[in-house]
Amino acid sequence: MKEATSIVVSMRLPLDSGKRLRRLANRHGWTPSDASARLVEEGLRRTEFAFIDFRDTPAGRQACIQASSLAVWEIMQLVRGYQGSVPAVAKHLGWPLVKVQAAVYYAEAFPKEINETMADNDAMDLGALKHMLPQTVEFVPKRQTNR
Amino acid sequence: MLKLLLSERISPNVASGLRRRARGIVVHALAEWEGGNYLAREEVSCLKEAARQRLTFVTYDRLTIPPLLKAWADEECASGECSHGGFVFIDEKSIPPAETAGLVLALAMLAKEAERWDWTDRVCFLRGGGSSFVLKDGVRGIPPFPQKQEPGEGGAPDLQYP
Repeated sequence: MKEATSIVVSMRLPLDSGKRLRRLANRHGWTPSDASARLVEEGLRRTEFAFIDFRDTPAGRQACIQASSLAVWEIMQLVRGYQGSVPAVAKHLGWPLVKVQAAVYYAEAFPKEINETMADNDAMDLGALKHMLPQTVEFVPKRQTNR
Repeated sequence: MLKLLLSERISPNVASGLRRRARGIVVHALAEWEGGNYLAREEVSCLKEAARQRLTFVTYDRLTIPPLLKAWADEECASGECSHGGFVFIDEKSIPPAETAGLVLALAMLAKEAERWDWTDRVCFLRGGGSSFVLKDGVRGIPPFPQKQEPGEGGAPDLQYP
């Protein structure tokens, strides 16, 4: 027998909370049930992981680091750029080590979410950028001659 | 004159390196800009303030910002109410964020070339000329970024693209 991947939980909400939930769901094109499931999941992750917050972006809700503009996937791109060195990334950003480490732990727990987002960013190459923003021009610094 | 706002993913060392290398350039690192007030706020409010101040935003983020600019163009700019001070998207494959000196050099060259450009609504994709640079003595590689300089010393090392 297949194990169920979800359970049904009924809950009683104050009227005002129900209205706010419906508004949030409408804004994102979700059902109220989807919206509440997402909020519960985000709340759980906030509780379980240090420094994690969630923010709306044009690419959907993203896990971010508190008091920072950076999403977890952006920090993981830096980690990748520094060959996995957390101290090097902390130095690059001028952050305490624990904040970068928190992003790494989150990414390890939800690798699919983070890897897919990084792949989506990589896919936005010059051609795709031009499709979306036709005024885009490429600039490659000119070579300098030997002195 | 190019006035840059560097996203948080770009090391604050790039801002100080650029100020040393490209004299007269205005560069803000997001962590310091407006007392860091825009760090934890939604991207759109930061970008709108940057647009209001006619700052050119420099970023590696090609996931969330382009759709935002498209939405601005679709919804607001059609009525002539919205414009921005320009965006520079950096290609992390040819100019990785870890290569601070390479990024300083590429941005300094862009600033020099774009000295007279009108950056209103301009979007630029900045790509490095190669995966590494050639130092003056012919040695190939990414030069170490000068962390601290004594007064009177020169700026970033003399570099050439291969």
